[in-house]
Amino acid sequence: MKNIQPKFTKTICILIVISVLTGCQGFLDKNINPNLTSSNPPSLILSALEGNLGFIMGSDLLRYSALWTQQIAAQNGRQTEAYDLYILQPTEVNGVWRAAIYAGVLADCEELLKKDPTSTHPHYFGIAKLIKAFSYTVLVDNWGDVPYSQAIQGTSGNFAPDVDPGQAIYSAMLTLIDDAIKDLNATSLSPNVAGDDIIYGGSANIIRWVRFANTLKLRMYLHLANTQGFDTSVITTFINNTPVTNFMTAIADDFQARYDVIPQRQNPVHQFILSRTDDICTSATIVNLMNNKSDPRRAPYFTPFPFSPSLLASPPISTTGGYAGLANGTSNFGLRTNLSRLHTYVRGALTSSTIPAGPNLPVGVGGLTYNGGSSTNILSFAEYNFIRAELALRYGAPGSAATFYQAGINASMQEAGVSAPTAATYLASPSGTLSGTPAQQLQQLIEEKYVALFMVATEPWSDWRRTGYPVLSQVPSALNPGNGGNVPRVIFYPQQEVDANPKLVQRSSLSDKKVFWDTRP
Amino acid sequence: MTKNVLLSVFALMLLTLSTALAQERAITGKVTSAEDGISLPGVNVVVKGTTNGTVTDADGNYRIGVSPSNGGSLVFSFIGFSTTEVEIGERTVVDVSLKADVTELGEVVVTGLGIERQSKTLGFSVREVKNDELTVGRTTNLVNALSGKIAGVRIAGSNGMTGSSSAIFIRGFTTFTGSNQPLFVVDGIPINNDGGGNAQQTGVSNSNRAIDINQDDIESMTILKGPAAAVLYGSRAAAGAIMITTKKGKGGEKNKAIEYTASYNINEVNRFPDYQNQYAQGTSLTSTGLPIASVYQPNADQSNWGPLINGQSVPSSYSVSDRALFGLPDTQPLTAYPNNIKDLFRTGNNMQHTIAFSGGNDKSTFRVSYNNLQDKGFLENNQLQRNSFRFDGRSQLTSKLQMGVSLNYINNTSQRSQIGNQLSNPLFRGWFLPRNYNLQGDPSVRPDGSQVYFNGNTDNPYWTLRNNLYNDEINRIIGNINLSYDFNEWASVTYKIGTDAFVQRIKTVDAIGARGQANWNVAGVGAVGDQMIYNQETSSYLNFNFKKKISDFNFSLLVGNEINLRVGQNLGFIGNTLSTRGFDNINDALNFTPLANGKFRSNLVGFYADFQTNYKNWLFVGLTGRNDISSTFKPDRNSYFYPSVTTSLVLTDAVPTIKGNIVDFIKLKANWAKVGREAPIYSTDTYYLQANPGDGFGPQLVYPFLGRVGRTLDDAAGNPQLSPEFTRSFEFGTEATLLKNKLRLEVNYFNTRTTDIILGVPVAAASGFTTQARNAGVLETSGWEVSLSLTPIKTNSFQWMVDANWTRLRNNVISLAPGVQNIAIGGFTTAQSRIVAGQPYGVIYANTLLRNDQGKLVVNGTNGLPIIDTRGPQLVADPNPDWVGGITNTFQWKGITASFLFDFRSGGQILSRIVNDLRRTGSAAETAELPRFDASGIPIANYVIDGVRNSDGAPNTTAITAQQYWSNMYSFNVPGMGVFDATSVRLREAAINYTLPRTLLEKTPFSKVEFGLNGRNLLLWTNVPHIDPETNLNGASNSQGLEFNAMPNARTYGAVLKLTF
Repeated sequence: MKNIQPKFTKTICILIVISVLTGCQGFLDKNINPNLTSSNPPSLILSALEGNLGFIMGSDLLRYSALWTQQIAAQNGRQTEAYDLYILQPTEVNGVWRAAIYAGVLADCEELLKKDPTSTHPHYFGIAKLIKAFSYTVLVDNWGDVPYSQAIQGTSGNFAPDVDPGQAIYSAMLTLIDDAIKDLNATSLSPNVAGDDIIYGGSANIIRWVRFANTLKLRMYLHLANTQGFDTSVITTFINNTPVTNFMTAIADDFQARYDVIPQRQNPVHQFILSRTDDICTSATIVNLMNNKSDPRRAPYFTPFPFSPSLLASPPISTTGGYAGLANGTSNFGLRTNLSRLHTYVRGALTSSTIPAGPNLPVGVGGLTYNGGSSTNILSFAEYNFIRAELALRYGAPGSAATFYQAGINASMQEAGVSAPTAATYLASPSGTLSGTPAQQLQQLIEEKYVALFMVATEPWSDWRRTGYPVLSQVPSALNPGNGGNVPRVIFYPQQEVDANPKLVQRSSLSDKKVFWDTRP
Repeated sequence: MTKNVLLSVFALMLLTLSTALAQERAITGKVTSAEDGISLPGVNVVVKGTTNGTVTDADGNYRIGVSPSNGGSLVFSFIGFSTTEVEIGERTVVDVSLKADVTELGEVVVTGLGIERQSKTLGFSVREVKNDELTVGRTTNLVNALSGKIAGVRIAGSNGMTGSSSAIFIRGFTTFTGSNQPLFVVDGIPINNDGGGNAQQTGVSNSNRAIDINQDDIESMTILKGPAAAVLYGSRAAAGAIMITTKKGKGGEKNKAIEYTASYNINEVNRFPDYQNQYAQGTSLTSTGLPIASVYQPNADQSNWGPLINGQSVPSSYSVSDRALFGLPDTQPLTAYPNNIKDLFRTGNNMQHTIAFSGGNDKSTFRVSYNNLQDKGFLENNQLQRNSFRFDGRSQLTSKLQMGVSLNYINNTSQRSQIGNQLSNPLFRGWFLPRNYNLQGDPSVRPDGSQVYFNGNTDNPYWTLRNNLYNDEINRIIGNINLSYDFNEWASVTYKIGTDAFVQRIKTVDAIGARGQANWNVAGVGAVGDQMIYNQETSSYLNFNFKKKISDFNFSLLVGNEINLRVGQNLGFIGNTLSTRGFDNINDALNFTPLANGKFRSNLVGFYADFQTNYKNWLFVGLTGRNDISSTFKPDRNSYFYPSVTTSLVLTDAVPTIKGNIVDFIKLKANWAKVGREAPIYSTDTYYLQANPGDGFGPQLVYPFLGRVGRTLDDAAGNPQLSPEFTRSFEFGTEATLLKNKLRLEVNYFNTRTTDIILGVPVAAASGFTTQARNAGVLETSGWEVSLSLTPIKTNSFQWMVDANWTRLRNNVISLAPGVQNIAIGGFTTAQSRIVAGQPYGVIYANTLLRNDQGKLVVNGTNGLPIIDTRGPQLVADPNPDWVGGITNTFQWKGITASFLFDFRSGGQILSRIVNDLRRTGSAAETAELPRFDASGIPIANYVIDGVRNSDGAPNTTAITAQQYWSNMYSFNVPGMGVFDATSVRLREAAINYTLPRTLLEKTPFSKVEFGLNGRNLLLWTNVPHIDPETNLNGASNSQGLEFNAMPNARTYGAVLKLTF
């Protein structure tokens, strides 16, 4: 044994030295995550940011505005019930502003815009600019003044950007949209946008991006029209100078988010109903409004109440009922079954093989089941028509308000899958024609737009803030609603954002520091 | 490599077994105390110069084998007595009386890197816990066994489910968002103790991986408190270290022992909420909040504000078709079911068997053990089985070369039930089940397997327990090989290499038709998840030791190197949309989503030196330096150095005149140390992630989406400038032995300050990122620890010993990154644990009711209802206790030993969601203290909120009904109202053991028989209503003091039997 000892010691020592030396080379000199990439081709960024945008327009922001405009109501004593009572706190809006919009869509738009122009097709830049412009309008319409000119500069070290006035952002975005249209009209031999454009399907439909761009400008002009010192003749000039086929022409041009029919990839409202069963429900405000007009869109929007399979198969069309909603803010932690439920327009095609019997549809997922594949409208052809109708009605823009009004209803009927004869019957009824004083016509117009924009994020709320229509029901003061019982005009800045950025000063209430175009008292 | 290791292991096993069979002669004797002649049990007896040793039995008798050729001498050592060496000569009986050693010279403790030092020389704080202290309560999770026993150490459990995790905090918190858990080291090799965190919205109660360690294999656990004690373990021991020394075989004929330990413990819920049983489900308010006559509401209504229960006929809560299917009546008499929740629970049990064989000769020793544990939880489908095999062998190969091998194989399987803030948690709404619901009598499942429940929004508790499944299996190997070689009298080298490798396979099933989120949140379409997690940590240590004595000075020097390699890989898929109920195979799914699959690797190389010197054995000074190179930083800043200095002065040796009848021993100690800490892996760069938009309520878009992959820039910005965070500590303390060893006292003050804390600093998202990894923030912790051991009574046959400890510590967040107000470390948007500059660590913010400057509730002057504070979450609770402590009383009388550990927690708050739920739904007993209705069923307004009117500030006088009061005061929107002082006293452990006298065993094959009764968590006194405050939402986590729909805690009691052949 003795003779092996020196050898043994030597071997150990050599082993150690080798292991230490080899260890230090390649053992310690990198800290690179093998599971993630540090480069990203334009097509993958585009698919991510379009999906992200679609989700934003179908989740938090949609729930806030749909509750506050009483397109839906809330019950079951959880978060949405508080929102329905105007209790929305700064901590609750962190996600949508932070992870979804700024660090999500906008950061990815900027990543795309940084790509090398010599090897990247300009259509990518055009789409990125449009989504950026649209996202900033969403930010301004919900929060008012927000960071823009110094935003998305974290990679160069600016972690607390200045806040810009909403009006300045609007005007910068109008310019950016023009810029985007130039990109969309440009040609290049670089690989073009294709199926990675999950909204319009890429190069074959690039004209739809142009139509969306111009229609977005119209929506922005509509918001601007009421602001002090805005020259509305700009709108007329813009419409006259834009070929009519460069505006939306049919529901195929709708700017909407599509979804899969497989779990965790479905319409976010549908997913919300599944994970927060019965937290949101139908609102009496919109149900009654549509009941009064015998609106045929109730059948795809809502399930009948009282419920029965036969009524589901041949929906009631009377004005006196057949559908019921909950008066907003009156749930008081309760859970009601005597209501219509959100139906195929929101949740996709029915997949139930057996339809439960009545009279009340059972609560929860034990009721009807849907495939969750319905799209989320973001800016639709129907909205285009209602914008044109209002611009014509109030600001002397080209075209006939009455014609656009009917075209808007018609487009909405088409989207809801209402048959042409049924839609024609509705258009032939008093609801189908604008009438009365200009103020009455505006109310009629906005109420129809409100029905057409069912479950569209923010814009119906913007319409209410601009015009006061539709007339909303008062939430019960006995339940201590937030914001003094007044319908919110704007959202709190996110608590985390205010904490992290001293330049962002929190508003005192959901009515404080209104959006610059919200000039109605 | 692996093959070679295995070969060596087998070779060594054979070697130790064969050498153990050599011939020996036996020596017997009795060891007594020289002072009073009392026989001494537990005295170590070793043949000098060998590993051959034994321990005296309860009567002080021993028996040891020595080789016939070698007379040699025996060494007797025992805590509190002078180590005594006796020549054997030709004798076969060697009786010894030991002299008390008032200076405690003989007490040796294991310190960092396994270095054994005399306790009196240490300038830092360690505490050793012996096996018999650890195994008192027969807990499944080793960490729990430390509860209440050690000053400065706090154990925080998560809940009483079998397999649940417990966190351990040594001297509070030292970092913000990284782990504050100490490093676990088994026989010198670091092991993994991760995995104890719980998801909030999905899944089960997870284990921390120390649960794999069999307590019967442990000889002792040494807790290295703070950086000064743990500095040699470097970057990963900034939160302290726990060194586990396993049992080894002992040489000698007498020590060829077979030990068998068996225990059986009952496991049950230790506390249930107090319920009212007078009122049924329903309401007595209109939709606008005005009182009306009570209405019975079957179906979905989960609140208990309905009519008085008196047998009146009410409609069935089941559909026409279910009534036909199960033959249920259309109406039924309204009846209370007071035990409908209690009876959901069963009596669980915990059974453990360990058999160990050990032996050896004067050259080689071995120990082989097998442990089987079966733990059945108090809910269906919650159990844990563990099989552990352990081999340890060591051999003196030559007079200079020693080699040892140990290998531990563990197989651990578990079944777990859903917990958390989700509708598949059987108790999420089950805690406030309507009092009139017959949970046990009513159906829970249809013949087709679908569930039946009165509430269509929530999973039936029985159905979710039986159908939403979580099963996992762990196969784990922990082993090491160690060599030591003595060059000469003063120089030696040791080398040790070891690994801890495990594969965890998890199979999860979300049943078709599940209404809650279960494991994967797939909205009822059913999902199967198959996951495999591989984790390996390998460490190598090379240490050179030198010792020298020059006149009155002793020097020792250790120079060494550590190489540590951590690798892991996760593989997992969820298949959703299942076709066949009960098939539970991933191939049954329509769609597949990969989990966070990937590999990770991080490495660390450390070089260290430890220099110790003493003057005349009464002044001790130690200097330590360590330089780490960690792969978690960029190469230009991955190398960092940190030092420590420790000193101790044995006053009683320096100035012997102070020794006397009162003072036996006094030591003063002081130290200063600094330890670096690594960065979280891969945080130096920014990457692109697969897109996955989501809103926090469940809805999300998982990519591939619409047939496309989508990648998005990570919201968390990496930072190549990251450098180590440093924890600096200083400590002063004294240890004293007084009154002839009857009283031992240790008092320490420590102060720990961590700077450059690495964390994802929240930044304005308008920058494009939500966080950036930075070195920012300062955290300071300081505290006092007092430990006291007292022997109030000691006679020939009876002894009463008291061990007490007391800790008071303060964690103060000194600063976060500039401009950052707070960082969330757990919880929800409201009811959130935060780190806030200027506040204690982990304070809780939540939405709450509006109060005026005097703290009085502000009440709506018109209707008498409270008003929600719309400023958002406010500071409502500080979970940090004012002080904690524990007292163990041990009584020994002949062979009987009884011990009782009470632990105390004073102050600190808990935010309880259950209490709010029980109150707002009218389920809690206190909601029915006043009659709710008059004779005609009209609500009585008999509550007046103690507050002031918002209109004029005058005291509120408006009376409201019980439902108005409780449902507004504790509404869903104000979790901050459910805050309670978590002060508690509990009987943590109690045990009575009896060791049979040796005389009874003479004609049996047994050399020792011991049996006893024991229990854990037996009694609890607290002012927190309804729940045990020792439950935690996030499990073993930095977030403490949040209770959200938790599982209850457990009480266990049973019996144990130990046989030695």
